[in-house]
This record gives sequence, structure tokens and C-alpha cells, in this order.
Amino acid sequence: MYCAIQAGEAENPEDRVGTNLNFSMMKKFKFLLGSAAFLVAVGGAFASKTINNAPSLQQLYEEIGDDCDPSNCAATNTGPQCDAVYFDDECTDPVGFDTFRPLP
Amino acid sequence: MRFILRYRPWIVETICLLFVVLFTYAAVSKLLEFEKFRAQLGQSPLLTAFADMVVWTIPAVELAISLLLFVPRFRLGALYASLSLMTLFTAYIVAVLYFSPYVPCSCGGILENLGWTEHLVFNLVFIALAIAGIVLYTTPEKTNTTRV
Repeated sequence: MYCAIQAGEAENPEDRVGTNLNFSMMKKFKFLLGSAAFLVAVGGAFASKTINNAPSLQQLYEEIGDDCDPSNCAATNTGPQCDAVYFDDECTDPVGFDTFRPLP
Repeated sequence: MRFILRYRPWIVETICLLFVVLFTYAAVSKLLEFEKFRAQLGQSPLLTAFADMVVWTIPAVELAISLLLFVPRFRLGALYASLSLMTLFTAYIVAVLYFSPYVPCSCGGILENLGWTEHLVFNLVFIALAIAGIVLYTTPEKTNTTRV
């Protein structure tokens, strides 16, 4: 004997209608939730763009011997290899790395 | 355990939503500051040669995964793709941290403000979430149907 008490297999057709309605509503709810998450993420990305004003793309220069060469190190670079003194242009004014580097 | 099994669909749903938010946010941030992202990839010690390709591929893949996570039919595949992408990002971070002479950041939005260790932990948490999502999604549902 087969006892079907699983959702959607009820003997009473009204129960089945109720289950289908529930399922459809749940599907809609999940879609709305997903869309809301998508929109929040897009909005967050736009919002954070206006907040982040760090000049992280500034080309820095370093003195190598007597030359003033463009450095691979930038505001977003960290690590022991980027601990030298950097200049904003023509190696005249040193740049305070700690003042705008966003990473610890 | 019973709690997890009982709320399994909602836990999977939440994990998928978290990935949708993460990937959409990261992709849109990169596209909004496209030139900056391109320049950062150009400075990358590992990706300089592929920068022109990667600069489009990463946001496109992130957005594609976000959209596929919406579709139940592709959800499992999208979870596997999320796991692969997060593993790839984590491997890149580890490679850059341990084998690169300098450490550039090519991440988008506020994620750029995370230190590398925090970023690593963040990625590992999402890898764990992806694994949990895959396991829960593929665990056969215990039904109330009984044969007497």
C-alpha cells in the first residue's frame, strides 16, 4: 500500500491547489529576493565608487642610481619591495606613501 | 544537523544570494572603474601578459555566474563555477603574496580596502560557503513518502 503524504500528492484536489499556489508564491518571493540582492549590489558598487577617492593610480617614480625611473610600486602596492622613497614627478618631491595608501 | 536539513532550501538560497551580491558588486565596481582596473592588472606581476583579456573576462564571468544562480536549472553549475572562481582568486592572492616581489591590488570597490590577510580569510569563507551550498544542494531530500 502506498501512502502519499508528500506535498503535491494529496488525495484531496483542493490540497493540491493550495500546494501549487504556495509553490508559485514561494517562487515569486525567491525571484524578488534575488532581484533585490542584485539591485543592492549594483547600488552598493555605485555608492562605493563615489566614496573611494584615493589617488591609487598615481604613477610614482624612484631614484635608481642617478636616474629617475617610473616605479612598479603604486599606492595600492604593498610589500617589502615597495618600501623605498617615492616621488610624484621628476624625483623632486617625495610622496608620503602612508598618507594615501589604502592597505595596511 | 536536523536544523540544517530542515532549512536546507533556505540555507542554499541564502548562500546563492550572498554570491549574487558579491559577484555583482565586484563586477559592477570593476566596470565602473574600468581604466583603474585595467591599469592595476597591467601592474600585476602575474597577469600583465593577459591583462587585456582578463580585464573583460573577470567581470563577465562574475555577472554570468550571478545570473545563473537565479535559474534553478543552472544553480548547481553556478555554485561549482563560484567555487572555482573563488579558488582561482585565492590561489592568485597566495601566489602574489608569497612569490611576487610586490603586491598590487586589482579588487573592486570596498574590497580594495581589505588587507591581503583579510582578503584571504574573506575568500576562504566564501569557498567554504560554496562547498556547503554544493553539499546541501546535492544531498537527497528526505521525503515523508512511506511504503506500508
